Amino acid sequence: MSLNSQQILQSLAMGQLMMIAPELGESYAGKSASMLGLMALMLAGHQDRMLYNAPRMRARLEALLEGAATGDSALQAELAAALADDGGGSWNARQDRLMGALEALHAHADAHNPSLAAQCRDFLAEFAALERMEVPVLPG
Amino acid sequence: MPEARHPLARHPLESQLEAALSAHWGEAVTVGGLNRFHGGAARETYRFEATRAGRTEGLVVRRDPASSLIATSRSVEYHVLGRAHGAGLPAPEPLLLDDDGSLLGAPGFVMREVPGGRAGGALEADPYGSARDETGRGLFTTLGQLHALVPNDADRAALPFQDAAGRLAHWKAEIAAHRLRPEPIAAAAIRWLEANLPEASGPPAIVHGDFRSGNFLVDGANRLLVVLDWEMAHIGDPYEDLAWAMDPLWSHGDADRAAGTLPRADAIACWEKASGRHFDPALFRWWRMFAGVEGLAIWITSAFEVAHMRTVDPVMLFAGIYPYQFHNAQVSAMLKEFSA
Repeated sequence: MSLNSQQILQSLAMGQLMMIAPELGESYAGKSASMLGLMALMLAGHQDRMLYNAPRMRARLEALLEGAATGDSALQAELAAALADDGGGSWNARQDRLMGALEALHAHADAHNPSLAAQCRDFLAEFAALERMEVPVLPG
Repeated sequence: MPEARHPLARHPLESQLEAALSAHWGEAVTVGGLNRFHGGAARETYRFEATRAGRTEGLVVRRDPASSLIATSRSVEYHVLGRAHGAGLPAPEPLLLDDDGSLLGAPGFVMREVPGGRAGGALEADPYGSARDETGRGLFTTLGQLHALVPNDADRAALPFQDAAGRLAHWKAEIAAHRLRPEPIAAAAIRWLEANLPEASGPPAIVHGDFRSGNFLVDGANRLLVVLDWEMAHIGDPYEDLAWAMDPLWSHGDADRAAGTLPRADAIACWEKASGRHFDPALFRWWRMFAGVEGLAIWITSAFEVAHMRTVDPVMLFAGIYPYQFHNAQVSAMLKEFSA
């Protein structure tokens, strides 16, 4: 096993922050270089956490959509179609499809089903909390 | 995409500024030392030095970039700068407006520099140190003083009026136009806001529109020096500014302190005293949620610009990631809290 993606991003970030940005100083280019390094560092930690959390949240989302009994045939068909769509093998495409279905389900639930609406809010709050990046602490 | 230019070549904006300022002042002006500020995604902002009759002064030019977080009017910003500066508020003095871009290469304006200031970085913890209470007193007193101004005829002619419903419709349209993918949290928040539209908190006020950390400078002792970035000014409900200024995104990691300065209750007390207005926590709840949706609209627009390769500015990339996720988490938590 060689470097994992987190280690690669960390190395790119530190190269940017320690080699490139100081040479450019306080200029617009220098501050941009620092910002790019900081973002690479944020992504490094974030990506590792998302590799762990994303499949778990995906399974929860699929279960929420599969278990939703809305009494609305058009919406049920939309949910079923989203669940059946594998996104052409793309994680992001399937995620967009499922989140689109959740958006429709939540709108319906807000109007007709308070209990289901609460489930949608719970999911979204947990999802958003896990998705949020953390600001890295730079090594001294 | 940004143009490539040799680092030693003279920036064309310097010649444009010389011509514009020479005509404005009626005497020969030379311009040098043009240096772009980092950040400020709504405008390209440069500091430069203008010399006329042997006297040199620092000026700032702000002009529209090729890509922006938000579509704003420079004539609005120019007017409100003059109004605030004239009223004695800490705002830069505007000097020259180019509304159609014929002078500066893009629509923009020139204002006097307020030297010696520093802005707290968005990710900087405790940027004002032991003086943070003093920073906050200056900040929230200034905000109250702005909201104490009664909009006059010139303000009403220059600044758009938008009540709570109008503001919500504005940002809802921005999200609809720029969303790259489903936005279930923003959509749910908009439904909540539409279902709970508030009464006006009081008479309409001049609203800064982006009053928050990063848009004001402090001096060496961390006292408020000047409030910047007035491009989103309008006439509306002053709770909009208060909620945006107190949004946790701008709290430098200390959500108990407004803008990382005063405890929240003390900040509100300063604002009440200076504005002569009353704080209603029930009304304010709506504006807290609104602030989150406004943030999401801005960050979604930024992501749209990045995704369509209209910019490679890392400020725009950052805006589309970190504050977007921050506000998604905050708004979704508020949706749970407010529905409990």
